[in-house]
Amino acid sequence: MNKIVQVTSLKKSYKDVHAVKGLDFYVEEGKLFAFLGPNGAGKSTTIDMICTYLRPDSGKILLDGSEVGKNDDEIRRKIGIVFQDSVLDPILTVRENVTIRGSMYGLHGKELKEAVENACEVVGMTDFMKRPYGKLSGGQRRRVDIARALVNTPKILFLDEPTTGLDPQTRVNVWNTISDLQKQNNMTIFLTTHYMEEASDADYVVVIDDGKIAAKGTPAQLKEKYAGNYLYIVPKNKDSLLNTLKKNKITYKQNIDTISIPIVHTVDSLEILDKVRENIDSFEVIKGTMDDAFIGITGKEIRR
Amino acid sequence: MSSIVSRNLKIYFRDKSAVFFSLLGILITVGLYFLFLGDTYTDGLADFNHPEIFMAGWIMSGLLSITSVTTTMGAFGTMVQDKEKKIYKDFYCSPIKRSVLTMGYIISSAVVGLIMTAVVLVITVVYLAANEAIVISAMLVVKMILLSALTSLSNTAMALFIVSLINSEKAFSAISGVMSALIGFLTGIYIPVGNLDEGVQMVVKCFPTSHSAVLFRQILMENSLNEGVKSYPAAAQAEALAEVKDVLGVVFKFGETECSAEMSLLILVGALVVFSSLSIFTLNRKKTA
Repeated sequence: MNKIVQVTSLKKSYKDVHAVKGLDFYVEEGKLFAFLGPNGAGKSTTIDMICTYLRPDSGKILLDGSEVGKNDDEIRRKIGIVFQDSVLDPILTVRENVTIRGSMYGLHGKELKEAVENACEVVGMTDFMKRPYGKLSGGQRRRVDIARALVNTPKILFLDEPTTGLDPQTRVNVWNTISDLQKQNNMTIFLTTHYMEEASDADYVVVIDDGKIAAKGTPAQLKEKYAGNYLYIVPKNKDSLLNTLKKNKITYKQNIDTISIPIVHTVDSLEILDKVRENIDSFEVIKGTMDDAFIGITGKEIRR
Repeated sequence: MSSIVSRNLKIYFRDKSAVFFSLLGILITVGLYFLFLGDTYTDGLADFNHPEIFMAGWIMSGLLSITSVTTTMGAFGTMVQDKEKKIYKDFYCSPIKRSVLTMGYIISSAVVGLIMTAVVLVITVVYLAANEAIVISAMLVVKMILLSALTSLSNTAMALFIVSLINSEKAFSAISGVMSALIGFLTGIYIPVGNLDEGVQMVVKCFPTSHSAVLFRQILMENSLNEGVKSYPAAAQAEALAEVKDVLGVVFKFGETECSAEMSLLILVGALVVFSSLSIFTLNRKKTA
């Protein structure tokens, strides 16, 4: 697999605040890569540095063979960015906005017109070309933001919290557009998010906290490693069950009418169930979610 | 570059309220003049033949000189807004040079200043010709166009310098409001410069835009002043003419020395060069931050 982005010991401080304290990771071409972390973890700072906007204090960033700080214009041609806050002009129409930004990549005439049409078609905004950007709904605006990022047909698309502030339905909509882009056009997507569902759809997740990498892996690996699984048992006779558990030195927690037992792998539940089989009224095994993994990694509740 | 300029122009002209407010300085002047100041001035000049004719030239000269101050300020609003809303982040992450971007703001503001001044110029020439204050000739038109262009560019540079010191939209609207209100006094178009006290006169005479007003007055009031002074006996005409020119600021005097037209032109060009250099300096200093 080709590594389209490669980051080595990246650091950035603002005066006394150490925003990014040495990051190492890479992004594979054609994958959906999620950068996950609580607010203020250094996600946006890292994206800003990869996108040539901020200069790193130290470290090296390679993007498709070009080094940030040396071939910035080359990198800028290869990337598309959807910023956290909207950066288009509310008073101009969708077509004008995307056309103006397209012209900054040296596109003009027929070529530019086609690029604008294509980008807007991908996000399904062709019916709104003549509407002022400021008069669109939040979800429509986000789509235009994505169209703007696509106008130079980038190799990699960066999205900084693309669905923050959208209602659940619109969020799903925008999210589908993003994952279609990745699957159908084989585009590399690099996104930051603090929504767990989105991270669990990614091919690879890097969790950062306090400017450092706290964990990385596929969503399944992270869940496996950091999210505990639980066995819940509703006993026929509670005391007898507790006795059996104590005898076997199994840790448990008493809930109102259930006993919960943390287990490493879901199959571990079979062994325990065997020992207490006669005493079970009902049971269930719950696999850890990305939420649990996140809390397991950062020790913090994720903000919803 | 051209697409950035056209973006800035569209943003400026589509925001009707911003256009209105950037014209506020002019509207205030026109309002004041036609509502009450005009009568006061002409009453004070009752010894002259038809003072209202040359005073029409006087007020229009003032308007022509300040139009490009407030309108270019308004146009530079886009630059401040882009900073505040972090829109420039999008530009900086595109393969476009920062200097091209800055030039885009400057050129579009200059274009706004030129367009607005051109509109006022047409109104002025038609209005004054209709009132028989001027006789339209090719020479007059060429002079007016060249002077309007120089005024616009010089004022663009000044506005750029002011805006280059501003970082927030709040500061920008406060300062452009103050500018709109002050500009009429600073250039001596609300109150004739001769009616101000010594110190204030000096401020007006040192303010570059005032020299644009002076030059416009010299072109637009020449005929009508010569006509107006004919009410005086022949022997007193020269003295009366010199005095009225001094009071109305058709000619600026520093002490006893008259400031020549060439000198005024030089001051406008000088302002253009100095303010441009200062702006390049402040803008560059910020870029590294």
